[in-house]
Amino acid sequence: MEHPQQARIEQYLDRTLPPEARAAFEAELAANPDLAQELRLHEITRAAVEMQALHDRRDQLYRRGRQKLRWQKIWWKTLDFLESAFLKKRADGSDHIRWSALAGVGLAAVLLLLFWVNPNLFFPEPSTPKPRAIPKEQAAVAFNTYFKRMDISSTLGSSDADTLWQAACRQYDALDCAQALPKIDHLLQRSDFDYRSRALLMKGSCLLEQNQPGDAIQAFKEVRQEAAQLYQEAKWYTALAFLKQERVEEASKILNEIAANPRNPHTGEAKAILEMGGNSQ
Amino acid sequence: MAKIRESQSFACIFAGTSANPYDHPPFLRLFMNDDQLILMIRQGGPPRERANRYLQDKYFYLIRQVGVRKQHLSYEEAHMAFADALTKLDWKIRNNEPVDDLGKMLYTLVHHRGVDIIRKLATKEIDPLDNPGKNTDLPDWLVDILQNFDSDHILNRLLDTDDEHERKQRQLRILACIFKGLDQMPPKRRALLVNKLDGYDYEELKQLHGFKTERVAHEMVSRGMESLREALKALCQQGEPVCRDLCAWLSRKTQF
Repeated sequence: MEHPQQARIEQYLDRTLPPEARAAFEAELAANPDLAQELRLHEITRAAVEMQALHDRRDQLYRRGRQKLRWQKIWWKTLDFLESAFLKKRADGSDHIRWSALAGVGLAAVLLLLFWVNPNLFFPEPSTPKPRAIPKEQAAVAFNTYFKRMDISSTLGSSDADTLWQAACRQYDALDCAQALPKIDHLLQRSDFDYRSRALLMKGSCLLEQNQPGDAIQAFKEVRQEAAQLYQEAKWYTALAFLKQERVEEASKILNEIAANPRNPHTGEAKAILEMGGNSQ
Repeated sequence: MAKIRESQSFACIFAGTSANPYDHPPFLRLFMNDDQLILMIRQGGPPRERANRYLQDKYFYLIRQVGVRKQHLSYEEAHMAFADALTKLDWKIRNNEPVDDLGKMLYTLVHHRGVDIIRKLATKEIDPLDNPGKNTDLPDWLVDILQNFDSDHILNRLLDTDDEHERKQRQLRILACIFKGLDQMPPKRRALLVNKLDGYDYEELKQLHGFKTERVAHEMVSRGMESLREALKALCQQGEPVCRDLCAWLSRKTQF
């Protein structure tokens, strides 16, 4: 609870004392130095809080401003940089715009924008060669020029115990497809036959030789993809079979694939056949 | 004042009910005019805080425009000048000094503070004080405000000397003594007294400091003032060197 004397002092300083009470208080002040001393202490205490309030206010504003300044400064420094780049001070203190720099940056900006919109405008992609096709009239010529029976001479004489398979191979190598084909068919019906892909290739070659390209294609299609090299061979003979049938579109498609694949042993021949048709589609 | 009343009524038309611009809806608070801002600062409490924040945001560009570009200060120095100027503007308004245009006034104050900083940087002048260790850390802007108190202010009345240099020295010592007394108070109690002086009423103080009733808030303010008086008395009794002027004035046995 506030002391009554102190409450009077506070009221006096707040100027809330009634006029009579104020006059009485001032008379008391004049007569009582201790009261005057207490009043001075109250006054200086108020001034102290006033100073503290000023100090705190400034501190608060400064701290808030510092946070704001951290981000604002980035923008302002950017503006400073732009001004230093694009404005030139004249001798009379006025600014003048550096139009050349501005035009340069504008041009760069336009180029960048264009590049962003369409990068091919500046760095066009190398055009992929269009697939070539063989004209229908060249199909037979191409077949006759490039068809050779698959050579199996290097595989003959192996220590294979399967005599039927050895007999078929020997007959195939001796150009006796009529004898070889029934054996090959018989072998292909066996589930434990190990040389299925090679046998299919031999069968296809024989059928092609016997002018049965449709059946030959069927045989080549059955060659398994896992037998990588034989599969590439099958592709080549399939293309030739299509040529034999004068189905040039299918043949061209496969030949283009072979020509683009350097691992295929017939890449050069495929390119040569495709070049027979020149650049025509 | 007529202008303020006019703006109050104008704002009331838009706001609907309250005469206090602080109570206006947010979209109206975005466009507060000078009269409204002055009114809010004089009102104290939360409206004053808001007005100060508004002024700080609105005139923040002065840091670059005046401090950095005109006076070639660093951004930090210019910001310091701006914060000082805002504090001084708030103080002027609170002391009912006539302010016609807040923007112009703030511009002038920022410029003046900037000049002070430049001068200080150029001369590195340090006033030789009787007890430099105790009071050189007082900020310039506070000393500057002190110089501008009217002659009737308590901090001017106790300087009974005509010598300008001596007056300044005494002012600095008194300020240092006052802050010494304040430093001895618990920060929360000090904040309570500051909030009261800033214009918060007891209801707001109750909420701000978590008192149970307004009466408790009132009691805590009285006790706070009492403890500050005791702290100043204690400094005098201990014979603190920077407090010698203040203590001599307080203990005078002359008439008021």
